Amino acid sequence: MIAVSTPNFTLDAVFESMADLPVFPKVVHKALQVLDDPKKKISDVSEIIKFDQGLVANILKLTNSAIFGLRQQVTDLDTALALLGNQKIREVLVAGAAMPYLSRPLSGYEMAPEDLWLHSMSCAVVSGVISKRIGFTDSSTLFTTAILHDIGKIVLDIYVGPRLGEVLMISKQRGNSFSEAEWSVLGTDHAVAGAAILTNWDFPPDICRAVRNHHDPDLYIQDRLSACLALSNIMSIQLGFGVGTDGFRYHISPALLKAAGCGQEDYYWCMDHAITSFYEAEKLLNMIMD
Amino acid sequence: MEQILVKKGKTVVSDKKGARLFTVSLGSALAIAASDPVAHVSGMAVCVLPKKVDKTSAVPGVLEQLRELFKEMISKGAKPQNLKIFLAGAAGFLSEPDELAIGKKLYKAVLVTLKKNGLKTKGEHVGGPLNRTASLHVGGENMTITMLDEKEIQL
Repeated sequence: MIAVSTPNFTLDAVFESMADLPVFPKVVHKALQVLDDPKKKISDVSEIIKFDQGLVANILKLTNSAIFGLRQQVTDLDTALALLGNQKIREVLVAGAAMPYLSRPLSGYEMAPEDLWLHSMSCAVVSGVISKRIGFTDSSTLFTTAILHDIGKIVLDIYVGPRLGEVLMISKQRGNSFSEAEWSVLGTDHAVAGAAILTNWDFPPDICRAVRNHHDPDLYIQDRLSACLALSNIMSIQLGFGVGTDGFRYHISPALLKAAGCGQEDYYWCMDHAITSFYEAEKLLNMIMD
Repeated sequence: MEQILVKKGKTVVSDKKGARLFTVSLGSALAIAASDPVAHVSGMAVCVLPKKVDKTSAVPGVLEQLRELFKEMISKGAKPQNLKIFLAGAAGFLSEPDELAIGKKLYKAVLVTLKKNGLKTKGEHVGGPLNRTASLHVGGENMTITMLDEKEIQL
């Protein structure tokens, strides 16, 4: 019998913590809306984001990284956007805006400053490999979801830290997943917290739902975006990129590959191609350490 | 001390005195380390895929990596009868379908290949939900494993 004290906070406390979290840049949402409007031009995107210098700097860093595959170095926003094209602009915008949130240490999850960023980017990169292989058409939405899937950890971190021993003990002794153990000890888990943060930030419901589902084997097989996110996350962990203390402490649904529309050979192909991409992603580490 | 990183899908052999081979955050990848303390030669292969996916693949399969590891070690003077072989990694989720259990498949493929060649392991730390980092001093007789929240282990 494991002695576990009653969960000492509820989602209300998480919501209170969210109030301290800087809001996801509104300009990014506006820019994404402009990209959805066929009447607008890419120069309209530039007009919206050019005054957010931190965001522009991050966008230029990412644009010049191997992840986004431009052959020439660019130093100004207009050129970067013109070279990237609509889909890549979406990805750069989200990654650039997410960078400050995801490049902080998470001592509760025993993750160094680079771990969450590396894991998030790795998950996003592998999601791109999966989209390409299985023909998932909404690859930009999957990329966004993958970048932000662990955002709940930045809020839960301060609660997990003092009670990590309890969470791990429950997971080890009961065979529960880390999420189940988080629920037992904290009354919520980082996927639920993440979905709440993204809802607060006005992200579309399908993205919030996939983030909510990404560790729940019964839920992530219900829709393809959730399944592809769960698979991207699993492969990123299997490849050992940015793995925290919760890493392998999850149960995987036997129906996952089918729900994602991915065959056994596709999975191997994606693992193969993800490795090369991951090593390119690693270069991003240097950027946030600058 | 020279530190030599062995990345996933790569194989490195060294006879440099005082050097240390290491690999980080293995995940489900499987590190095969071998050392001949007499010849002072060691090597490490970090396998990610049981078999090469196709001809264009940049990532070799277990068989290709083990062949490269032992061929290179022997060319540097190592003798099969002196080899100390260690395995580390191949982590798995708490429960996972066979089709995604890549760590188990890697482990099985490595054991089959070693057995076919009459080789045995001296130490193993594989499987389970544990993300490992592993290292081996060139010419050393032990492999060192570290994990989050766990004590350092010597094989």
